[in-house]
Amino acid sequence: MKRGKILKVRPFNMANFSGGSAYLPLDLFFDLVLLIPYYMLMALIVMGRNKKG
Amino acid sequence: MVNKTRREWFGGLVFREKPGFVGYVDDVMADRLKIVKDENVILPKNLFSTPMDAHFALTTRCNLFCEGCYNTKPDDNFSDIPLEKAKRVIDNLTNLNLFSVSFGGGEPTLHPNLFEIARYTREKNILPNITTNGRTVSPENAGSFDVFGNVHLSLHALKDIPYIEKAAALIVKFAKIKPGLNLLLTTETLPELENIFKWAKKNKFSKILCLRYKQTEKNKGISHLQIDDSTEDVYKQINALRKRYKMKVLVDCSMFQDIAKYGNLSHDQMYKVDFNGCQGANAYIAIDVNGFFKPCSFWKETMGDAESLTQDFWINDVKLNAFRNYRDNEGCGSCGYLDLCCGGCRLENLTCGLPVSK
Repeated sequence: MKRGKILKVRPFNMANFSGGSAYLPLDLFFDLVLLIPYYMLMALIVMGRNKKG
Repeated sequence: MVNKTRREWFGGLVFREKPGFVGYVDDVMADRLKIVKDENVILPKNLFSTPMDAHFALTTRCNLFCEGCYNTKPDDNFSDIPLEKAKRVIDNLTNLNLFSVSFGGGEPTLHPNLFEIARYTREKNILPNITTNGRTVSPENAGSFDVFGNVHLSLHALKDIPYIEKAAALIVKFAKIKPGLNLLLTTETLPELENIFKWAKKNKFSKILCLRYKQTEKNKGISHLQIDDSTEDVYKQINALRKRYKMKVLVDCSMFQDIAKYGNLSHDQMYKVDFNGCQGANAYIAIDVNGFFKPCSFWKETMGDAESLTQDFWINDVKLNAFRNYRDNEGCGSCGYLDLCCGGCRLENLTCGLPVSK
């Protein structure tokens, strides 16, 4: 079965600005922050699979 | 908590309020996440199926009238959007599966039904956010701000600082939300940038959004606030302060080209964190006090009633597509950042001097 890919992640909630901007990467810290949504997305898939049985 | 998904041309989007993020996944993963696909809709490449976020101006009233405001002047005719109209707009944004609505104005806290509209928005599973100057925040109403996902306080002039500090403390205490700071970069604030970062850190702001001063019909001629932001120095300074004070920093989409040119960020780094230029009429729309939508808060021309906006109109409207397809200069075609930049700020006085290479 194909695994699929997470293409990219926009971290935090990005609203409250008049524009489509994003965070300036925070170096190593920022990379670590990005892991949280990646793991959450993976968890959602695992939960879906378990539900299916 | 607001948690949503939807299909897009590349696959799908996953929106989560806490921890806050938007994940972009391919078709295979969208299927595995069981994100429903509407086989009747053909989604064009590079266009979101509907906006993700709407900037909703609830009122034209203001209690400050900052010099150089792009939106409100003291001699305007003031109006609030009626409560029922605001609810009908929110109903339609729910149909369109938007993720968030960012309330602004004027000064949105002057709208008599602000919190009711915000609660209604959350009930409809859309995340309400707000940008305010903070002057009306009091111990009596600060707790009501807990309905919002993000609260941002606007710093347009140095004299605002004591008021913002007080409002931020009240919102932290009563609503348990750490506000963000909307910092307008002007000839007054830029020389004080380090002090502002230091102050924001001390007062535990969650992030700083650096906004470019833009001229519209409302502030035409007020040019002494405009900084020379076409130089590398501005971006070096922001970057250095971001590191020194370990603050999360956002930048205005109109600054994308200069960040690409001077910011030492690779195309891949920018892509990975969804760092873009103009996303007007794509990732977001603006809605004015009459309930009419337009591609961007700074844009003058409205393009229809937000309570009757459909996906078909969104995808096919000629004016929306003309806005999307705008390119700032002839060099755009060969620029390695075009897919992220989207052609530059549509406000005609901004140009960038690109192309740059990846």
